[in-house]
Amino acid sequence: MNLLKPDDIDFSAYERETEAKARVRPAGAYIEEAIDQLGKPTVIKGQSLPWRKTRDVFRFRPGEVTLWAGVNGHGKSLMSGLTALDLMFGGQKVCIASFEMKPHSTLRRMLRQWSGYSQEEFSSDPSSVKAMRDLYEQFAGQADKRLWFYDQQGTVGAVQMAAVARYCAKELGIQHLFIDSLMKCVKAEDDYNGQKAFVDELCAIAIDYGMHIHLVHHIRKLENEAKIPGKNDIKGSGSIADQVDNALIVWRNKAEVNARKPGDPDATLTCCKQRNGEWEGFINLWFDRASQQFLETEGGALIDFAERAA
Amino acid sequence: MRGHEFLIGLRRKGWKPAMVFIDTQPDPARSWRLWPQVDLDFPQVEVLPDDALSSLDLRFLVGLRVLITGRDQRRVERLKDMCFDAGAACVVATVFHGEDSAAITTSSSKDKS
Repeated sequence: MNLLKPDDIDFSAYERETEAKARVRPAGAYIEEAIDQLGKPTVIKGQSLPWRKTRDVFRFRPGEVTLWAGVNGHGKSLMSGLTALDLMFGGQKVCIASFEMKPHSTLRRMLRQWSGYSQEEFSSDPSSVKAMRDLYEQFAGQADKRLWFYDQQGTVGAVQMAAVARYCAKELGIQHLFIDSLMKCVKAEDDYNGQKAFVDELCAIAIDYGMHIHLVHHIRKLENEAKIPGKNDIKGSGSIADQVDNALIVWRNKAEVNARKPGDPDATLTCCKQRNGEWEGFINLWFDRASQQFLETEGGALIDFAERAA
Repeated sequence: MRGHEFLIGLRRKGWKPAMVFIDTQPDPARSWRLWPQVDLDFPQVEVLPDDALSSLDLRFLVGLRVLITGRDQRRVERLKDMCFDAGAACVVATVFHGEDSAAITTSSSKDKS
């Protein structure tokens, strides 16, 4: 059956003519909804970070863009990868676009974070290989239809990345897209207009499709790595931090262990912007080398992904 | 709101469908996503429970016949008024009541077509 008919309205012209009228609205239109919300329980939208202590204070909400910033080598890809793993086990559909690590390397690291074992710890005897294979198969069962990779190394054009983001949202129903990193999608470090336009496009895609986009980015070189960076240290155009909804800064404590005070963390995660939440602050984290996880207490338990999957 | 983007594209290309269905309940069949591949004649749009109605741009309904369904009477009625204000030719709103949706209430706006 084909009931499509030629339109009797020039819709494009109609859109242009009514644009202003459609966008400028009296406050009364919104007040009725505010009244409707009175007395209704507040629904916490979005997904949390992997650590319990952040669950009441921070969320990755649909339609937002989160910037993961940090100095080179401070673990932003590791921490964002751990978050991707946690989101996946929480039932979210995740796609990772890393232009610095091949999918199998990213996957191997995620497997290590998930299982707590590195491949190197297993010897090549048949029983060890079988044990590792069993673990990988368990992971595959969980990752099936929940984890995708954009297999592209080096650089990618901003237009192409935006097209991939749209495809992920529209065709695959991806809820969290990780782009690692922004500098691989724009022409140059001083291409401020290109950075602004790309982040603007990502924000629009996130809103259009209700997807959350995680964008990894660098911090300017600081006078010393002991200084915890802030929002103003984000590299490139100042508009990047203005445009995104959330900004998280990863900092690694590079001081030698014996030079630290008791309780000093291995890393901090600072939330210096959360557009739709009240909390801004930092959490201390401790690194577990074997699993490559960041833990919320010193010597504490590994993140229990099985609990997230339940 | 989702499912409307393709309809906007059709209208910009000079085509209009016979009718538009708007569902105010989450649709497990994801008809809002599938309709362009299944049947262009009957676009399916989903208004999500947490969509702020006041922020919806419903201009894509101008001159079209619209059928709205849902369970929240106040929300369905409000959306019906908004569709009419956006220039829809005719709007029929149906509210389902009860566990098995056996009871329905239907109201319609004035047919302008």
